[in-house]
Amino acid sequence: MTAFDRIERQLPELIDELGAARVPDYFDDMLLATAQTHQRRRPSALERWLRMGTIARPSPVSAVSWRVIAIVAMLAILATATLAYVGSRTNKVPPPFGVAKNGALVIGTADGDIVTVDPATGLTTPLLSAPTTDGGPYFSFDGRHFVFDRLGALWVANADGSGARELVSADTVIGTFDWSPDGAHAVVTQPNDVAYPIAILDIDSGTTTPVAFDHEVRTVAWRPNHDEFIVTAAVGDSNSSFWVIGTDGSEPRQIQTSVYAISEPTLSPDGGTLAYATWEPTEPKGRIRAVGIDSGGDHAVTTDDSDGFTWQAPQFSPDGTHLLLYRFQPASVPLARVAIMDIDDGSAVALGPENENPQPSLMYSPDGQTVLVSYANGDTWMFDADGTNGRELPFLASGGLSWQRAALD
Amino acid sequence: MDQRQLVERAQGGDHDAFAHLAGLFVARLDAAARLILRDHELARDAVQEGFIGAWRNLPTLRDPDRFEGWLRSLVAHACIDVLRRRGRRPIEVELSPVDGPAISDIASVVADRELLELALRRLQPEQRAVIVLHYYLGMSLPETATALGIPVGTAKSRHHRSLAAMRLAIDLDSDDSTSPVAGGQFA
Repeated sequence: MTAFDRIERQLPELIDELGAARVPDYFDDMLLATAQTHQRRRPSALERWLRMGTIARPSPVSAVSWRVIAIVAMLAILATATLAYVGSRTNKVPPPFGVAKNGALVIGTADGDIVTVDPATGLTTPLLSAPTTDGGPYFSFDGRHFVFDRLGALWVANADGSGARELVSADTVIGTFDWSPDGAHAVVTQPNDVAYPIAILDIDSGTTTPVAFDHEVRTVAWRPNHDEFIVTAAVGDSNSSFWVIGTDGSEPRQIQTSVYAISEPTLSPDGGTLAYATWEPTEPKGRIRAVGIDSGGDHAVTTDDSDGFTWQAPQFSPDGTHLLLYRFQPASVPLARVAIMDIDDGSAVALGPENENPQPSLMYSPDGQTVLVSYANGDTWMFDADGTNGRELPFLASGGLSWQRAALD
Repeated sequence: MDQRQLVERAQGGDHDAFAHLAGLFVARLDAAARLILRDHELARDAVQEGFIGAWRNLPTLRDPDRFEGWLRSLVAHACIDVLRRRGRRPIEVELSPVDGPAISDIASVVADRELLELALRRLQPEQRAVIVLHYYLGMSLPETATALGIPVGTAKSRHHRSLAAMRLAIDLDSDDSTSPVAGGQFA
């Protein structure tokens, strides 16, 4: 047993001893400061939902009737049929990027199971219900497989949950994971390998092919419709630079972006444009910029800063016309509000409430018609992509969620 | 008066109730901020920012029972904000001395604590934040991800990567290695 093995077993206790907790000497000053700060007014229900259309909430069921039983039975049959359909679709696959048809919505539950869920009813159907703790499902672009986390190891299964097998053991350190367009491979980061921080993982065999890159890598993604990777490299503690490299590591080329770039970028479905967030030295700090990956022309998407909004975490819509993201106002107040922004003119439509839980998880449906917003407090909401028809969904996705892409009719 | 009642009163503008709540949580959140930021001044800035934000926005908290988690998220968020403002200024190592009768401690426990302290110091601040939020504040990785504003997958990989860097640092140090750099992760 190594020293680390010994320490890891008692990590919570040791770190508890390191973090000696005592009331700090600035406590009284801090309370003076809060006492001098005005509280925000409690918003009315209407104010919380400005710009929203119909809010559909599940109707409470007061008693179980034969109608309910019949409906549940029908839904169960439908869910089973859907599952069978999902599992049987092997001939027709969706394009790897861009708009696709919505397949199964799969979530990791608080109990450590992976299930399909009907967003309308919350009815779940088990995909994986092993006695282990599973989570973090992530569908391949062709919708035929998904990977998931099982006790630190990376596993892969068919879309219907069958054929689950370990892909990468828990002893192998893998950072980020992105499927190849055809689902036969993935590109992963290897944080412990300085010379080869990137590798191509063969999904069938589990073997890896190292890719050399001479910078500290944060994330790597397959560039849509190109035989290239887009690499996010670390610049200091927080900033990022973005690179294009061949899938064999050849011809690395830095994309000219703002020095204040942070986090990882989002790629347009055609692979032509990269959008990213910055953290500027002055308010408003978080802004959104875009650049042609081959053509350059780095420019601000958020051109009007007069509202003081700080924008973060953009994600391209499946049709490449909009960004799904969230914003704060001002940066020091971590009340997040989700929005959809036009990539061309930066105009934005806010969705849902100002939420006291910072940094919600955001996701477009494969067809681009709806968005899912999952807040840290467990609330999960769905909106139409025009910002209307917000409704709270009757389930919690504590262990992550992924939406299967299916072939268009 | 229970915690929920205190939160509800504070939401209604009762600052004494808020002060009572702050007293319940400030010590551990201050310690967490110091573990992440390794600097008393920065930790004070982050904790104050978090608590002022909490007081200001408390009326918008919909579920009073979620106050503690919400407050932890605000302070964690403030730590990251402080890091971003700080830019690349060198980390100043400054932790409080550990309380307790060290002399009577079992030697290996003291040694392990020192090894852990060294390993944490060698992590990058954002890696340290994941470790502290997860192991010290007891937040799940999805909660940690949300607090830090990163995807759950990134939190998991950062957690994995942090442990790997700590393993390298601890195993090197425990062998009395002279190399101060653990896999290029020296903060």
